[in-house]
Amino acid sequence: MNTRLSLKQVWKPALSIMLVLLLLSACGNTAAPTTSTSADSETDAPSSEPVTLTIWATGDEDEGKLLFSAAERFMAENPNVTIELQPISWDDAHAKILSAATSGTGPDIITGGLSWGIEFGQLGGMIDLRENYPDIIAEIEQSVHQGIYQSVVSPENEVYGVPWDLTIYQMFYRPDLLEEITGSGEPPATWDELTTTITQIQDSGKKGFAMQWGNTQWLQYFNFLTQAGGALYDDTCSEVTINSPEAVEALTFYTDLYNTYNSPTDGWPDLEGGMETGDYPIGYTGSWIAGSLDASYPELEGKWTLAPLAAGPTGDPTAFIGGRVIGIMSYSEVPDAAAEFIRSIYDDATADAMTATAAELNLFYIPPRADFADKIQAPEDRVESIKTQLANSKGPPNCNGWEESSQVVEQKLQQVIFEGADPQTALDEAAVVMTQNLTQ
Amino acid sequence: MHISTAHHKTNALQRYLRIAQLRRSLPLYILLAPFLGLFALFVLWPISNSFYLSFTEYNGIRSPAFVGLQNYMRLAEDARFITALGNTTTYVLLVVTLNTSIGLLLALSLRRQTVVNQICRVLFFLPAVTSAVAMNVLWRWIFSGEDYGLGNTIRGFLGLPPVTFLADTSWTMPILVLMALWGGLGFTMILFLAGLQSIPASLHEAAAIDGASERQRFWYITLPLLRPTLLYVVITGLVTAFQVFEAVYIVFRSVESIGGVLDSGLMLVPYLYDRGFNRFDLGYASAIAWVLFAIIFVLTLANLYVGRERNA
Repeated sequence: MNTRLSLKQVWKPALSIMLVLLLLSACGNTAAPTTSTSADSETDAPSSEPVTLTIWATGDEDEGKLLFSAAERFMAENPNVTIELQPISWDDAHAKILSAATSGTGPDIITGGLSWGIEFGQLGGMIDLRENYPDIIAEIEQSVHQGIYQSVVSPENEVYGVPWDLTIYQMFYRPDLLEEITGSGEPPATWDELTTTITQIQDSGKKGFAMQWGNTQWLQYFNFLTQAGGALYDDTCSEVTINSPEAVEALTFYTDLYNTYNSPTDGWPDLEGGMETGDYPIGYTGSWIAGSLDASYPELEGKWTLAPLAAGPTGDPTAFIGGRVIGIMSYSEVPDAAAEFIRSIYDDATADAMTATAAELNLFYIPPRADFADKIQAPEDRVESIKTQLANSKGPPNCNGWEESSQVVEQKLQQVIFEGADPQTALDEAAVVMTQNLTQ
Repeated sequence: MHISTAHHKTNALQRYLRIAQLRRSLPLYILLAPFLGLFALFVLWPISNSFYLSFTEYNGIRSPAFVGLQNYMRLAEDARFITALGNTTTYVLLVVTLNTSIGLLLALSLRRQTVVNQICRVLFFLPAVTSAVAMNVLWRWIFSGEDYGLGNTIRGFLGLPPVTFLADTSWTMPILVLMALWGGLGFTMILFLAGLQSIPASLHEAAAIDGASERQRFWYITLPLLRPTLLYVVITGLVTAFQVFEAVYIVFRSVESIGGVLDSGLMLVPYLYDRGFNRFDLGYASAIAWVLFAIIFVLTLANLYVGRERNA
């Protein structure tokens, strides 16, 4: 039996396969997302010409809806503008935005971590808003929360992204349980009061105190560092100050909370569950938890509230303030419309629309304007706590090399927490690496 | 004259044979062309490009700048890379050894065609067809240090105090190895079962008649005839274990560190990802990828050499 194939036997099926492949690829082109094809046909035209803005919003679907409420308002005011918003998860966002910047195709606007603007901007992936839209930046600078704004301005004074929402540490507590245990429903206001309260809680048979967001990491340490009067760098980013006496005092206290007062060392302790069962009548975590706590734990409704963090030796209850930035990709063909949209987020009416949407979605949205804290739709005592904390807050440093150094700082902190390393030695070692990265 | 004509005829015949060979092969090349095109585009091109990038400083956006061997020299001084290499080596040794030996034991135990054995085979194989990401999320819950973690619930039943599994560096490697074994044992068992079934029963019967004990039959019949399967299991196990990523990324990742507490779970591929996609150091990440390739390549060659030598 001849099993060889002749050309005549095979060329027809081969040609058919290639034709099918060609057809499939052609179909693929027609079915491709409109982002790239529409971008080709668009220019940053006068307001009467149709413009499509594509946004990649880092966060979950509900957070995407929150930003879309701003988009809807913008589209109503600018009928020629269509905004397509795609939420992308935190886990994927960084790599996806890098791919978009590398390929030069993707969204016009991105939102993401506070440091992403400077990161992608200095790589050439995002537009310097100060250089290209000085009027918009000047307007935003007058109203934005200053505690966060210094974190998004690069050491060279560039602004690649501005905050669109804020997140701040808060003390979550159960007044009813504190009343029962300590005889007072008031939350601890100082470090000493905090440790005394934890001891009283534990003496009553409960677990005590949990730190959730950034547990055993530099984020939580940052709170204690600033409360002790320390800082990671000096004000001009010319010197590393992480090994100062204040920093050592803060790290000693931070370590004691784990090793003496048995705060859980899990990556993300179940503070909400612990508040419900009563195991953790007090805890530190991010303000966004306040939005969904009642919906996720109906038993807690009306039993919890917020307070500023306990003050350190300086009497200062400073907390880390974070949030997400919004900026324009450098390849965008419609940067003017994108910049206008970003400006609109700082409008009074947009903030109203967004806080209303946030309330519907059980999100705790803090607008980026310092004077908009009153718009937060929450009980008065919680809003007051947020306002007090916002007035005592500090964003992450914008100094050269911090992104590279933060991982090393975290390692050194964990050597102290988990391995009993000497705080001064660990911070001295962190300072050496930070100084190297600062001067590179 | 006769010689010249004969030579001419020979040349013509050779040319004819070459053309005939080409005509025979052409259809096969045409059929292979779509695959080869896609393979070149999506495999060969990125691989060769990453080799070039490993000699450059490249942030993904600006043009790559040639830096020679600088990235490879940086590796020797990079404490995190050395940690990742050490962790990966320990992990590979433990996973490959345990996965191969326990997989073989399972196959030997479940080789008979009984209903109970078949049910057990299905149960052991189930993790191999389960989504790795979903399973890793579950592992994270199981090893939670809080009361709802299954690990601590079991410890509670046994009267043991809770442990912060994911925050205690001494637990990191055992957890990673356990996860790998749970996910990989079923597949290894199936491969060994297939290998065992290919061994003629007559060999065992003859050896038994000659008075060979069960242990002797295992060492002198089963194991030598299983060598091709063993070689396959070890090589694919090495390649898979060196490339471990999801387990570390999902279970041990924190905000700043991809390798868990004190980098106790940092492996080569997660570190490569961190450098490339979190720190925009794609040239350096490419150098790590090529070092990883070199390690796997050398170990695979060594395995093949050992396997071939014993066969001779």
